[in-house]
Amino acid sequence: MIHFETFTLANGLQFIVHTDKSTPMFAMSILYDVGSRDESYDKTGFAHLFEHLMFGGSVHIPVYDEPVQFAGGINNAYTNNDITHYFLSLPASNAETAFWLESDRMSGLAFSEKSLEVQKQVVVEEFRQNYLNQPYGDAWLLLKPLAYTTHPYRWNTIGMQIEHIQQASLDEVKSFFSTYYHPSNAIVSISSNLDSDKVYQLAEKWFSPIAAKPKKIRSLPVEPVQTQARRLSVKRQVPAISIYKAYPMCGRDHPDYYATDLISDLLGTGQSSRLHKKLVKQQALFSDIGAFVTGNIDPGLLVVTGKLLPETSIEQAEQAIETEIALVKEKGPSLHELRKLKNRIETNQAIENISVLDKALNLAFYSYLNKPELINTLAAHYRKVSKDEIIQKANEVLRAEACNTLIYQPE
Amino acid sequence: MHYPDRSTAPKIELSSKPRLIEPMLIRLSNHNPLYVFESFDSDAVRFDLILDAGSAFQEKRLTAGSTIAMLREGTLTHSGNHINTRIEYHGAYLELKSSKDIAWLSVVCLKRGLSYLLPLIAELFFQPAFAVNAFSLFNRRQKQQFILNSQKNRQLAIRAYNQLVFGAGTRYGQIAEESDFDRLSTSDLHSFHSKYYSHAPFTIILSGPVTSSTYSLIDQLFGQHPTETSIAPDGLFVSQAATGLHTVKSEQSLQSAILMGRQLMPRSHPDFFGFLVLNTILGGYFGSRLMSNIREDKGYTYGIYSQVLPLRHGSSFTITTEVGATVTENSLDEIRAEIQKLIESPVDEQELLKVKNFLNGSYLRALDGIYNQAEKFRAVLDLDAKMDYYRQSLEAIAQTRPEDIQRIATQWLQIDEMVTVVVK
Repeated sequence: MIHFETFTLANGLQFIVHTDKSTPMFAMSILYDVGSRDESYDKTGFAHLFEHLMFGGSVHIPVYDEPVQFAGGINNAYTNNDITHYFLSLPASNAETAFWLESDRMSGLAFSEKSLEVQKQVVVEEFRQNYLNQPYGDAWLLLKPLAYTTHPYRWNTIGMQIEHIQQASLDEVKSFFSTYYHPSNAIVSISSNLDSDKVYQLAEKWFSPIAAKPKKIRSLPVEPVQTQARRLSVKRQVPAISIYKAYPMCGRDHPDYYATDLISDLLGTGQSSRLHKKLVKQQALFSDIGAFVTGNIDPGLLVVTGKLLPETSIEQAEQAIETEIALVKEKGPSLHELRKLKNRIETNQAIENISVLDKALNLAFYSYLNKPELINTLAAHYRKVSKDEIIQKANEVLRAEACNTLIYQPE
Repeated sequence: MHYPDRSTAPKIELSSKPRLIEPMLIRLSNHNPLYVFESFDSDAVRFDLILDAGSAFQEKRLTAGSTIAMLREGTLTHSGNHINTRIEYHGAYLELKSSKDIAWLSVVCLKRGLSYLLPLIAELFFQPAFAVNAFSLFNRRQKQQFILNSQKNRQLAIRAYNQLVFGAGTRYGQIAEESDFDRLSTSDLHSFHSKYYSHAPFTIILSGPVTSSTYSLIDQLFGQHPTETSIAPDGLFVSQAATGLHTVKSEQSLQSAILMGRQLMPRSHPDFFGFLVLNTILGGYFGSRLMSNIREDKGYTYGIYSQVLPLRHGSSFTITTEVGATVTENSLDEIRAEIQKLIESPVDEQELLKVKNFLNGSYLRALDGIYNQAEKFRAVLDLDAKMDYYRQSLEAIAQTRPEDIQRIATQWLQIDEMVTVVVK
């Protein structure tokens, strides 16, 4: 059982605090409610570029990393479609350094034109390294716009194209900060050996002077229900044919999420999963195959993806995947399999909440869903899923007419 | 409203020293050690079995990695499917991997699953089938993965570098080629297993909520067969490292992968800890000189790091990065310039203090909690000092002076003694 307390400052900044007396460390995470879904279609990649700039200096602190390292800490951040999440961990004796740093950069940024130019280049190299300069690197750049026609999930967090990143201006950066980086748009999560009273004092001292601002109400275009299968085939410098099949599914906070997540596990998580066991081991059609859900806040995707062995044809491979999907839709998991899926979730819940930093990050995310109790009850939600529910959701999600297929073929 | 003074940083304290937990040592009936890190804070249990069966011991390339990985593909009495289904039924994770020195089997599961899984783990460890069919499928998949990696610049660089830095024809300098997959057979695995697994000494590390009934189960399963002294392989582990610039042509042309480095002193060398500090300054953390210059000032790369890899018979020091193809030369120049600076001028006290603090915090973090302690213990299994190694290390780091850094840089970072691989 992980105990936590929550409080909200007068300026609207929410805190969630977990105390663990056995650790010498202090971990803080700040989740800002802004991701690449909030970008304009002609300025994609901006939320992530902005995350880089958050390390370029704030009003009183020229370089964010310096004091963290001086205090014996590490820090980093990630941006996804939905959120931007900053985190640091340092020896608990230096906890106040974290409050000073994070409150200063929430108060105001002060990076230079040079910092903007350099970080644009760094992000361009990140784009090349992760998406362009390796086989199958551009899979998500192709798959997202295939699966989404309307919702901003149709572009990736890194951006639709390098040019968008290169065009970002200092004025746009400033207005982005003023819109999204303020108390009512953030959640601070702390996991450490500090008592919640002490955390409250420090929070009041450093964060309460930051002016309140109204939260921007999000209104995003809704992705229409898909009624026709879509297909894209590309030729690339790749060693093997690769197949991606993406099916639209509900968002992370929808009650059907747990059943749908278990469907992806049943199909393609682990060596005893249906797809791996049958298509890799028994039929030897694929060298590798798996399935997962994207877990987005707005309606996401259930993705099946595999690489074919040289002798397998695309038709054979797709037919084999279809057969396994049809079996799940018809009969669902055996009771033994269902038990297996739930046992895995239970192990995951135990191992994902061990380090203070993991606990801080998870608590922040669950608070963002307005369900901080999930840190303790997550496995229970999965436990409730029945075999019939899996069959029903599988029939809703794994529809042939809602399938988005991407195929890579070697040049 | 009271406004805090934001212009002054809060005071930094570094009083905290990591608490080092010495594991309980239990000798199995065959004298193999079982180390226990007991804690009831979490439901997760971790079981690690480590033995001397890394790639340095193999006579044919790919043997060591394939032997450990094939353990889950079937035993004399159970199929691979049965094994994986049972492991996953208990919500457990089985990891099988190998390095140059060791092979390593690791299970993570919930407390209640361990006693069901251990008999199966013992079975796959002692009685693997290495069946021809299962192996041929496994080997084809491995080959596909190898071919995929052959299209990644970084992977190509790692392969070329490994051979150059440890020496072609040596035990550490082995690199696999595509045709090696066609030469490997189940008889290679059988003979490697009988030589380095069946009666070889091993170490087990157990961490989490475990009790004495688990120890006796482990002794029953892993402690009954006689153990013989391990056989040291003949031949050289390393030879004279190559120097100079080696360029490899690749099909991915947007970025170049760069690896640069050399062989390094062993962990027992008096300058090893000083070198750790030097490595951190140069490329061992986000605030390092390489990162500050090549990423944060020039924007040539998404990341650049340097690292020390301690091995039993010859460690290595390596700088690694992927940079925009058009700035490859500039990046190499900047890397060399940063190294030269460390040789020519002493590091200033503030920077050194920052690095010491950073390292102190890193140790504290890396040793936080029972599972981390067990992992850090595993990393120093070879050393007599065991957990005290970390205390010694921190003490030595704290005492390192700017002149030590400069002396060690002068001795160990001469550019003409290093090898550079560029894949573009």
